[in-house]
Amino acid sequence: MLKDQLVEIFGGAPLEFEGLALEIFKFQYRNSLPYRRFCEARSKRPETVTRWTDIPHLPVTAFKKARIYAGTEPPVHTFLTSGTTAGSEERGAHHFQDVDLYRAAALPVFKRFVLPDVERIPMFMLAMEPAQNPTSSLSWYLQQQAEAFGAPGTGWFVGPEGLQAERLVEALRSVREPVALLGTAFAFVHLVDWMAERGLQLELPPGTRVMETGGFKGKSRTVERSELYGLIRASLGRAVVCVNQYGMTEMSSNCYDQTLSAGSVLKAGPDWVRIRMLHPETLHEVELGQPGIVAVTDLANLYSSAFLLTQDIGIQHPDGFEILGRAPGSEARGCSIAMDQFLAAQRG
Amino acid sequence: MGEPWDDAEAGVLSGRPVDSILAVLDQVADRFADPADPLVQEAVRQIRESTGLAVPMIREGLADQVGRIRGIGSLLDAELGTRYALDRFVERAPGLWGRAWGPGLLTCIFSGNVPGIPAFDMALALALKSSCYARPPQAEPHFASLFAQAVSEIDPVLGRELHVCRWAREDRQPYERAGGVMAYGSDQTMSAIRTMVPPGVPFLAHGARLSFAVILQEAATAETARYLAKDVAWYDQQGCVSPHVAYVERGGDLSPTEFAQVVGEELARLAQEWPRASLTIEEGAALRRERDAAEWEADALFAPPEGLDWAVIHSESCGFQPSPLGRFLRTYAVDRWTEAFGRPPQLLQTVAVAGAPERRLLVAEQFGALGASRIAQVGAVQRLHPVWHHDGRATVAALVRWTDVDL
Repeated sequence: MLKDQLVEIFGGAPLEFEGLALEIFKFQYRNSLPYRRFCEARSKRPETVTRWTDIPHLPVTAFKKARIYAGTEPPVHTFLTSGTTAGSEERGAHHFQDVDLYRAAALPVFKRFVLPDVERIPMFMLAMEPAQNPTSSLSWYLQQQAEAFGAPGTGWFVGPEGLQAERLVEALRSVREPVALLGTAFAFVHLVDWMAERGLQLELPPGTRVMETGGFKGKSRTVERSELYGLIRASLGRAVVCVNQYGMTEMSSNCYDQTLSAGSVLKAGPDWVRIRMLHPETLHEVELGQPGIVAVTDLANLYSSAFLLTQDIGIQHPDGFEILGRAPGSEARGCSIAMDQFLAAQRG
Repeated sequence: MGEPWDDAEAGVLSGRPVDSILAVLDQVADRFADPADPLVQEAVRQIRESTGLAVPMIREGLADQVGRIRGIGSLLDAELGTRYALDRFVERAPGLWGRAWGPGLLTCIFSGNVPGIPAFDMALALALKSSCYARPPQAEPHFASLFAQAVSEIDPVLGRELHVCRWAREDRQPYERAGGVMAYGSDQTMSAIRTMVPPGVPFLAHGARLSFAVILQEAATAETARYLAKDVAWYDQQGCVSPHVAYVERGGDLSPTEFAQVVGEELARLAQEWPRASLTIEEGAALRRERDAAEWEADALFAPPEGLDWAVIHSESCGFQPSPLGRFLRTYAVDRWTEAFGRPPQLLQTVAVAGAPERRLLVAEQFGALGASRIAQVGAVQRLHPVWHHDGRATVAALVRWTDVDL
């Protein structure tokens, strides 16, 4: 069974990527009607596709518009996207037939990129507990990490009313050993702003790490990632190492900066994830070093779609990739209105 | 000439009869109508290099844009009563004589979406016997200089009054002596310029606008669809008058879906005749996102099997979503055109309307009340009448100052 094969691979068994990708393509083509139609419109069928790079990538927007599900039984859990994309309150849904598979993929990746040097560590979650936010894949993901790798002191510091900054800083004050702070980028912005307003500074022990994820869309304040990392170090300690997670609700596996795992800020993922940058017009792969739309192949997405076309722009390098940002709503020149502007005017 | 007040205007053009300036402008327009003229060829080459627009489109567009300056005399007559108010006192009403003075210096900031646009305003400055500081856009920095050169070659005195320079955005100097400021661009750019315009100096700001098309039942034909496709293809849909969406009434020769399909077929043909400029990665990614979303949302999608050269995204229910541009048109089927009311509620500029003349006027009345400044013919949205009120406001009348004499 594909699932058993995947679990073994997540556990370290050797992977023959192309063969497995083609098998999963066949499986999803058979079981997911929207995906099959999408492929048919491109004259791509399992009988004719012989290379994994020819498998069509489903735009992530499809998760908002259709039920992208290749499971053979009803899903046991559904995670929703945050729905903060400009002008759209629609939320994408990622259905899981099997959260065991998700967990089996999530743990080794997190271990490799965030905890390569420790077995257990106290985790301070800048996110809501899964019980309070059951449709958040990030909350669920962090919960799995806490259960597998959390040391005493692990806790959650975002409630329905937002970041509990005072409680968090109070807890951090008594820290004597390295800790991990994990959560959304915006929660970290909130934390450093809150501390700066009060003139608070901490010097957390070396080995302390921050893992942040997600963008700032729809938020009151946007900062560059490098600026955010500077602010985090200024507030929490000069030795704090920051790592960005590149992931999305529509994926089961994540990619990370290799800062802790290999001393590089370029991103990488596990063996069962392949990232390619595609030309927006031809959808052919661009050359190394050239910007393109990020196409993700995540074999852990067995019961949804393993072949995704994101809305991000990135650059692939020989030893990792970088994300440049999100495709703008529209890039009008001159006096015709840009879509983002229009939407802003509508909201205003 | 000979009147004592003629010397009141400091500029070197103050003594020059308006007709003699207009005659030079006509000669400049003649030059640009001749595709064999080396200066025109150079302009086409430069514009092609900086914008990537199709050469035949640049040629045709340039002849049109520069050709509009022939209408400046009519514009002066329309807004001043007579162009000769710029030469002498003229009777404006029984018992009242008036004379109009140009701004002296007109400072213009242009945007890069439509090449050739600077011609009209630079020429207008001259017709108003004024100098012009023109800041061309980064996206197309050459045309304004070549236009100034064309004027110089015919009339060096006039040519010396045109100053083309990409001054720093925060440089206030070009505004300090200005008697009028005219600018095109984003609302952000407009706000930034507004802070630099001295109090009391007229500022004509042409910020972001939104245009669309309405196809009345009687005009829902293949011919109209082809005209509309051309409006969409012009300047790769980046003009402020380029339609983002089209509302198509049901009940015509073609159903709205069929109409959308013909627009698509014509866009496919135009992609050969007028290939679209290549896209930046951001533009490409934005178009890819829209096209992909349309595949899941639209009632019908007409687009090339591969690539993003054009797309018509059809919906059987009325709605409104702006286009990402780059020859992407959204069409909405409506039972009656009034359904389009309130869809694009603000920032309205051109509504291209195809239909019987009496119904077009009815549409004009209603959309005018909602803020539209122009009702255009489908297939001719880019052909701007020289006397039109740009964004619904007077141009010349806003720029001149009057001296009135009671008799």
